Amino acid sequence: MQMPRMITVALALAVAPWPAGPARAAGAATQPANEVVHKECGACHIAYLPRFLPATAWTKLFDSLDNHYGEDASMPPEVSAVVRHYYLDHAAGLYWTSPSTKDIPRITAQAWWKRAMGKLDVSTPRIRSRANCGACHTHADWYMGVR
Amino acid sequence: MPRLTALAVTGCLLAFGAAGAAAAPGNGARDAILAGFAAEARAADPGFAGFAAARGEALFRARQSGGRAETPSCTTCHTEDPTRPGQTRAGKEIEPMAVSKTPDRFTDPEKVAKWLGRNCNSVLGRPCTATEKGDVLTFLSGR
Repeated sequence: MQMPRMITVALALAVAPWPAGPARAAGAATQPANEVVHKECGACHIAYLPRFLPATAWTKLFDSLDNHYGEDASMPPEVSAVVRHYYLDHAAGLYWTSPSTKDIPRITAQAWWKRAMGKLDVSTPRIRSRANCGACHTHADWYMGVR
Repeated sequence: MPRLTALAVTGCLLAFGAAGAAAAPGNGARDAILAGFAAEARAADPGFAGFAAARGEALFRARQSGGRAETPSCTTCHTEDPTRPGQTRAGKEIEPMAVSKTPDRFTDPEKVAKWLGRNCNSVLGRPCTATEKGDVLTFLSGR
């Protein structure tokens, strides 16, 4: 008697669509989190990779979306929750981040960016901005798992 | 219990998604959005006498001082010529706002609400009125 009941419970658990990850918990259940991020963040710039900044910096950024580098980038709460979770879950570890920049939500202020891209010439209209990684890294969105 | 809630939420979202997909985007959808703005404008001002493309164009091109210094005008990103692609401040291309060039412009009510909501705050420092929204949509729909 014990055995079949256990099997039934196990089967029920296996079949149940358990909410997997923050995307579902937040209610945007029909779309994977990386696609939500790609759509929301990628409308204006490439969807920068979470590992570009530590969680401390991402938190500051997501706390001030109404003034996002000079623009209102606010999202409905259920959407911004998905995006925030995605970035905090995949943020850079503090080991990779200089203590002096860990609270600065600016990728171009990070030591690794300056080392790699510090001499970038943004005066050409095609690039226009240091935020425009996609001008040259045309596969940048590929890293978000979205083509 | 949380699982049941998640299921219910999923169901609702699926239902909404299906309803959204059923309404084929086109002039009907754009007209409905404009009609919504018109109803709102009439409620705010009983003397409302319709949208004007000329007023919309003036607003589109105006330089504002109430918003953020980085975005003084719609044209900051969308350029003076709405039939040409714009560019975000981060460098990404924006499809032309003119309906003649981008036929599915202003056919998705959620998208319209999202971007007018954000961009009016950025450029004007306040939400746009229904009349302003309708005027700009009328201007860009005629381009």
